Amino acid sequence: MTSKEKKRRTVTVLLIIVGILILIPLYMAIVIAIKQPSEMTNDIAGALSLPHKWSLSNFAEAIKITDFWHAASNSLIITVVSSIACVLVSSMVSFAIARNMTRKKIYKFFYYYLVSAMFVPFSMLMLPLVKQMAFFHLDNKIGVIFLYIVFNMSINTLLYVGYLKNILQSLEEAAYIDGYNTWQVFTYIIFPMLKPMHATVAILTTLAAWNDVLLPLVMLSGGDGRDNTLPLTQMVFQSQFGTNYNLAFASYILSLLPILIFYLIAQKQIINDVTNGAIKG
Amino acid sequence: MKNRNKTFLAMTLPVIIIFFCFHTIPLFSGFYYSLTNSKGFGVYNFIGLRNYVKLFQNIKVLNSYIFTLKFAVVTTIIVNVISMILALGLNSKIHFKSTLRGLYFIPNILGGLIVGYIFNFLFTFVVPAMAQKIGISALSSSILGNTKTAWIGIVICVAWQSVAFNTIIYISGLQTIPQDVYEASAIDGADGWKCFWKITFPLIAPFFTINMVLCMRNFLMVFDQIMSLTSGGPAESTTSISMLIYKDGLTGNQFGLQCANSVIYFIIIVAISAFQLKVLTKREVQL
Amino acid sequence: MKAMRRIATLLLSVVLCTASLTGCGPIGKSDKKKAIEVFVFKPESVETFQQLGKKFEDENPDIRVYINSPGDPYTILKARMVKGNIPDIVGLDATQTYVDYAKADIFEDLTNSDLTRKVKPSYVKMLANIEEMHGTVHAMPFAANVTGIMYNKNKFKELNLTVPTTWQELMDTCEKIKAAGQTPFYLGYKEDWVINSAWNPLAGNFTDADFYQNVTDGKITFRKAYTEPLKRLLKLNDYSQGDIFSYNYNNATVGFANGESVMYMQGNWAIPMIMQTNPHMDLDMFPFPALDDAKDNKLCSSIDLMFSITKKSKHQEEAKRFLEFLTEQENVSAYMKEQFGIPAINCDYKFPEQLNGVLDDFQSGKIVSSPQAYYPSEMKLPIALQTYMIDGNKDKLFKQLDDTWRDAHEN
Repeated sequence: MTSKEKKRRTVTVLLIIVGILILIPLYMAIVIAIKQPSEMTNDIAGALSLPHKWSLSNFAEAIKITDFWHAASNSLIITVVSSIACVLVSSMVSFAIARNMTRKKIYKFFYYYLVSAMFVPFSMLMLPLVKQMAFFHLDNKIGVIFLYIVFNMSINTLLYVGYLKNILQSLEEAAYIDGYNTWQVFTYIIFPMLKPMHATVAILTTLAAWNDVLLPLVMLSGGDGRDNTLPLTQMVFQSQFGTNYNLAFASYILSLLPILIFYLIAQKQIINDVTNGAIKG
Repeated sequence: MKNRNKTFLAMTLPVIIIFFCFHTIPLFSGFYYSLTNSKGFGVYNFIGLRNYVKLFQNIKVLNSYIFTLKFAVVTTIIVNVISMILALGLNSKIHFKSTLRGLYFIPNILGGLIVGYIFNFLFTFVVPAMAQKIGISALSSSILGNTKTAWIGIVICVAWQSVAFNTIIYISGLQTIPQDVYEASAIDGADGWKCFWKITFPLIAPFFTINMVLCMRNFLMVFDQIMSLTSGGPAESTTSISMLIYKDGLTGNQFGLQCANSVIYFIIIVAISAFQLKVLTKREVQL
Repeated sequence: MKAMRRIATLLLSVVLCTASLTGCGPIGKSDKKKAIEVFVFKPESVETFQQLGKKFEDENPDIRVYINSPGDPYTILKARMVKGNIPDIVGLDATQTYVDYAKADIFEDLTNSDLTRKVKPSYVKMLANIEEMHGTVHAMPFAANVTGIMYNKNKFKELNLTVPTTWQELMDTCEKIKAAGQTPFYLGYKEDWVINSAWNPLAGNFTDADFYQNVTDGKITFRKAYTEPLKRLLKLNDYSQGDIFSYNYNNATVGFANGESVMYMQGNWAIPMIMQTNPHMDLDMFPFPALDDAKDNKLCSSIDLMFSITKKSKHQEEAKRFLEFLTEQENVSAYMKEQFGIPAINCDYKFPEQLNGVLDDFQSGKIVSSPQAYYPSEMKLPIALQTYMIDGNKDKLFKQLDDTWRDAHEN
């Protein structure tokens, strides 16, 4: 028993040490963000030592310069709406595909058609897509949300169909016998049953949409910049104030903060859901 | 039943059509532009397969393929080895299990661009300063500034972010193994290492396959981190294919040529993924 | 049953409505004012232009001005051109990127317009040369830049140094600084474009104005013209802080501002950042002494910012009014003062002391146009130079230059 406990302690300590190593870059970013330029030197002490005076003035200034609240609300709207839309649309399509792909070739084709798109590099589609979206007047937030639904369709279909294949169909069959039509079966039986997968899809979409750079960069950069998302403001910021490391890091931390808070609140849920996606997908 | 079929079609068809319009049509027009000398705007001419010929003669393109493949293979291996070890550790009986799992997942939720900016500073100033203090001359200058080592910096940064996700997938794989399997093997007298190779690994082989394919695909498409770490330098030694398509296709006025490049790139990604799936799933069955 | 349908409709409408609900364009149509969008490729100048834009709106209540200055401006502009959603006014520097757009007939011809008449004739001529379109110009040069060597005056005094006027003197100065245990240049060559600030004055001084036409005609080769400037470019690396490919423009600028090097090869656009980092710095600039004879050395200058009106603009009149507003004495001064720019517009302007050392050449017109403006964008010369510095393969470099030049000029 003692040797087991000893082993347990050793593994724990090792994992904690590695965990601390993982956090060093973030620690550095936070410390620099709090310091003033006068405390910055190009050596270890400058980067890693604690600040003499704790002040959030860099953050305040970065919020002002990058118009943080505006960009954050844009990012938030795009992320939330994309995630919800992805869940609704992908689960519906996957339901139809999963229930038909063994019976009908066309659904099997749909499945492989959607999933194989996962391997198309975005840079290949970028320019023709930009042209096309502008033609439909969709070079705005709505268009970006729309494209997130399209581009996440592949992985989402893969996950949902994998999950649906393993759900027992007896409940559905019973519902059909009770006189439910297909829409009803989907809304009342399937949709609630897919709940664990919804969470997985929502989280994966949220991370992808929140952190994306390229798509908003080419789609949203028209006019007065009122559609700018957080990563975009960081790119402008980098070229304008990149020499003030403290201000720059404050701005980086700010743009990481919302997703970090979201993670801390929903941490258990997120890890469980990603796990779910892996087992059942 | 007939009604049901109609509904199923009503559920899928609109989405498939939209998907076709906003994914497949741009794909085809990309292919079309690969046969032209288009700059992305203005007039252009149809030039047949000349772009593809040019592509195969271009050293720059070749180098970028070599870099991308090297990067993807090395990072995939490193990430999977580390993830496997961490997963074994995090799945064993330890203290603070859920807190530790939570901590290890943090890098994965952060955006690649910002993480790149942070690592850039780390590699440029902090690591060399530390190395000088300790006296490791090899690390006393930034690894990002050297054509031979810059790619390692990118591997570290990308691995730092990706390990988390793969670890979680391995953990979920390990959780599917019933405890009594281990108990049986303990009776047989299998030691830790043997136990891993003979029992654990075969049982989580499907998860290994998922991780390998997803890693390879993601790393072949690497972009954000390179953008903020090196922008493809020095001397283009870390220009990934996505980066090359983005840079030369958009700012370098070689839109047609880079469209041809993306067609080749697409074929390669599909080929590698298909190959991986085939080999790895075959192994799974044998095991 | 009804609830069912409603949910089903909702699902579909998410997809279909996004397709049909087109949303409004980038610029709000709700107010009746005419809106013009000004695209500026210099993100560092965005605040200055926003102030000028506000002032213009106050003077012209019927017009709204949106300043758009994104990160990665060249890509964004390209995407906008592809979209066909083109800004009313485009502000670029004088490079072949601009020329490509001009040749694609995207900009209004401004030759002999009221706007270009306000510009110093030498810059209109410079632009016409770069465009190579029968003397026409499609932009109004607004600000010019000079690329030279900035130096820390205090350190020069400390080390008893004088401003070098020939290549040999520059080398001697560097040796003296090195002997005193200090760093002559802070080089931020991690970002390849930074190499331009050493290369442009070198290559510009070693070639004459007909050089580019002669290359196209096959009368001269890059190998012949560029061998010597290349040698000198490489020589400069001996006087750096070392590990030059690890530091970028920002790092180098901060380094120089904090006194980590005595000199810094950059253009005047770096001055705002330097002064922001170290407001007390005693800074001046001298022309890059590329040649062996002091009287042959010319100051390297180019058009830093110029504005074009796009053909597709629906508010050309308003766009013109905004550009006219920019050329007013007071507004030119406001911009130049904040950005340490050099006006390309005819006006009275008192230069800041940080530019004292280059003023003489500037005013007497002892100027060479920066070669950067002539390199086709697919040539990516700075990257080629960076690669050459690392692998030392001269043949590869010249082959690449020849190939890309030929490719760019064959169609």
